[in-house]
Amino acid sequence: MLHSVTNTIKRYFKIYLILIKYSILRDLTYWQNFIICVVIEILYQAAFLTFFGVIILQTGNIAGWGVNELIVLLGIDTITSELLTGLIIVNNSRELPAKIWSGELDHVLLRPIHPLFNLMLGRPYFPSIIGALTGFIIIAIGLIRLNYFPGIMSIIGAATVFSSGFLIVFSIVTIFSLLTFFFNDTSTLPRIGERLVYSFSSRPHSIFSGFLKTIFFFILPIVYVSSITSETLRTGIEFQYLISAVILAIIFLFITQLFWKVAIKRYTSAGG
Amino acid sequence: MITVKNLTKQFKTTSKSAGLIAGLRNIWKPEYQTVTAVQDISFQINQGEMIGFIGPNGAGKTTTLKMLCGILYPTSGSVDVLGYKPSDRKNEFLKQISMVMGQKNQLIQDLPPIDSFELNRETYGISKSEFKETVKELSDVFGLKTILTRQTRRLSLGERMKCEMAAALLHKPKILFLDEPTIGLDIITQKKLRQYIKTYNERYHTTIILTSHYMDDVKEIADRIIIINHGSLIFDNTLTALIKKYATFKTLKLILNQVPTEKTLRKLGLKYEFKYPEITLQVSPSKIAAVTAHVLKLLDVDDIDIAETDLTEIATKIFESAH
Amino acid sequence: MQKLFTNLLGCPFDKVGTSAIIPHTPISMIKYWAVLKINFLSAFAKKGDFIGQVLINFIQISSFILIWKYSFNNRTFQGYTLQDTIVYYVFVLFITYATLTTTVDYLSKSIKNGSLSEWLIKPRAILFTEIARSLGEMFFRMIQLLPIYLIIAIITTIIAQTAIFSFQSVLFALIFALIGLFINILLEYCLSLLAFWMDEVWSLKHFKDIFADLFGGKRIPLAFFPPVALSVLNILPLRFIFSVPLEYLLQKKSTANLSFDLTLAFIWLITLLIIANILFKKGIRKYAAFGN
Repeated sequence: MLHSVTNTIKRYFKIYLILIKYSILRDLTYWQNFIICVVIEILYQAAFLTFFGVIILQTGNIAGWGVNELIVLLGIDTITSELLTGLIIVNNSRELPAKIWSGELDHVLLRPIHPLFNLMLGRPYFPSIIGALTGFIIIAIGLIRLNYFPGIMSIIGAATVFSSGFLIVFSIVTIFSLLTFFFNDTSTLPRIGERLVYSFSSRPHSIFSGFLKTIFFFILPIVYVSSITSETLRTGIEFQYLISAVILAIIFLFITQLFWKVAIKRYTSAGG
Repeated sequence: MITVKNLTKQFKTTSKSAGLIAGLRNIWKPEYQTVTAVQDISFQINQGEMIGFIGPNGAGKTTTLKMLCGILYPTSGSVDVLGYKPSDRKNEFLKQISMVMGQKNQLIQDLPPIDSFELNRETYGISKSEFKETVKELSDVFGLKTILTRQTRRLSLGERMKCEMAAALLHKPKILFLDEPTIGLDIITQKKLRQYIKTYNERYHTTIILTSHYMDDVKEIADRIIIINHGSLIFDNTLTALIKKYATFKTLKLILNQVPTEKTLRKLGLKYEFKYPEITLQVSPSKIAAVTAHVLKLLDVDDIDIAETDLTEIATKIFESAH
Repeated sequence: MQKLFTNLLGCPFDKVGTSAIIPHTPISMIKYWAVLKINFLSAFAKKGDFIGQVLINFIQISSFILIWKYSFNNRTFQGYTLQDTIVYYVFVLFITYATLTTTVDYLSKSIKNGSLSEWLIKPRAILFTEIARSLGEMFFRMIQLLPIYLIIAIITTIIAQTAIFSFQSVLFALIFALIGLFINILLEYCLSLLAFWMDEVWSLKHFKDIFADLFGGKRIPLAFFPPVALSVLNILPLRFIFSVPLEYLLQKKSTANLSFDLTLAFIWLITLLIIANILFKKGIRKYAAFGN
């Protein structure tokens, strides 16, 4: 059983390396386009940071999070949003409605690999992945201003929470994307998932109370990937968050797989 | 190898009327209709057979094919392919089948075909040595040597189709589904592609299931024909049996050396079409020999041709009568 | 005067075989009404997309409101209370859909793939066709949103226990929203025409959207920017797309500002028309030269 699981992971890893290689080759073919895309990603991040900059200029803090804490949070969220954009959204989940309408999904379904792997990860978008690097710079600036350098346990804890949180947001984006099978006269309903993540992952989790806390901690647990990761990095591991993140990641991956099985039955394969 | 029993596929679609009022009404009360694409069809296919699915547009041929390879879920009935239920889409099943669609590409357009082949190699778990050998063989069969390293989008349609075929055969599938593979190709490329398919079948005993609107595809490739119309199976037998059942005449065409007189033409005692130097008669297959002898006695003939009823005409007759 | 308007509106010239259309005659305007109607009807077919877009924007705006809720702490920023800011964000969605256009998506593709030829052989000015198309889509959106926003306006007034809107403020807001739409169309029209020279017009559209969102007042009320930045932003055309209609709606501006805003809007409209005309004249020669 373990041997089979290891072989499967190895096989998918090899396929993913080939997909990355081909994405790079394609981007190099249209390198001017690539450079423009990198500039756009940096501009989006600059606009995002300017928005927060203006708020902080007026208010000084948000829900008890001071300027430097917010800088660390924004750094992590830059990595989150750029990786999400680059690995999952731009050339993958956003293309799903078009693939369903045109019947391009046929070839994906004929391959002996899980279709979601191809659909959601098949074509990385490198300008965003490069944009994610700016996140590390922003985190470093925040930590230097806080005069705090996290220990190895904090880093491991933060990485674990981040990975689990990333799997959760990946699942949320995927589940909403699969709505295209049910509402096939629209390409925007699936983008609700990505908008939820983009809009709320950068918010300090202390602003969510009552009903909103239930939603963003358990039903659509977007808080883990950026806000809780940033708190873990700054203040150390909080086991309740760590365990919640891991368990929710497993639950959401399971729900995604179930939803896929239901959704694919509605595929009608357009065209001849 | 393939067993289909009482297979049915229905689709639910929205219907929208024209005009503003109807558009407004449609927001709150959308109208639906059920379309039956495939209705209660049953057939069996054995290893190595080459089957041609024919039918007019919207008949249900492609829908049937897609249920056989697991792309679509049947509404009712059962499908068994190589001992698997296609809609389960198990990897072991998918590794034994392949599909080429004339109107959809699997190759990555921005990269050379060899890169797409490499991706398939990893996807299907083909070893590097076997892959190298197979690519060489397919390259020879399809004549791909000069095009494997060119960007796919810059290839001609014929070249792209050959690469699509090669990509589909890299993992040596037991069953090859071809959905209108020659669409848009010129006559010579069509002919070559048919030859490749036949050669491949002879060499590897691969089961070929083909849909096409070109009767020449079916004539040259298929041993057996399945005709589907309005979702129902209306014929399942060999090409010979089809001709025997539906071809009610043969065409006798004569090239004359001189213009016959009216009296001579009346003596023929048959319906004819005449435009010098050609005269065409439609004759019942059982009387062809006698009529030919009779005609040759009466007319000064330079050349003679006896042709079967065109398969296109037979198909047209079947589709129109069913309609 | 007739010739000036014909030139300004970028009509197809005589060399393409159609007589230059002067769109300001009533009979020739009927064809633009037909364009408006057909695009209004086709927007119904894409109602799912519209609902999705509204939900997406609603989510984004809710996240802005949430941030501000935890930032205000009973203070006032540049004359805005928390309530003012929340109302601003609630109505920014409405203004977004009043001034939204898809001109770049539509027109730049036509230039690139050669289907502009269909436009050129029809007796319609391209810019006016595009305005009619955008208006058709806008009317569809307004029909969907107006009932909801009327209810929101009533609820907001009840909660605030004071008149947030007046007839005058609504009227000015609608006028400036229309001006904002025309400015947005003209901006995108100019960007689209760059497709005669470059492939990456879509990137310019992204740049324009990023700047308009941030410096036009969608993401954040312009009043919150530092004074130096504000002095620049106040003369750019982007503020007419979101900020100006909203400020009049919420009575943050009075009739005292009207003459300045109308004059500036007029100047930008004329400037953009002139730029569009120049780009079209130069670009169309390039288009014909390649025989597309």
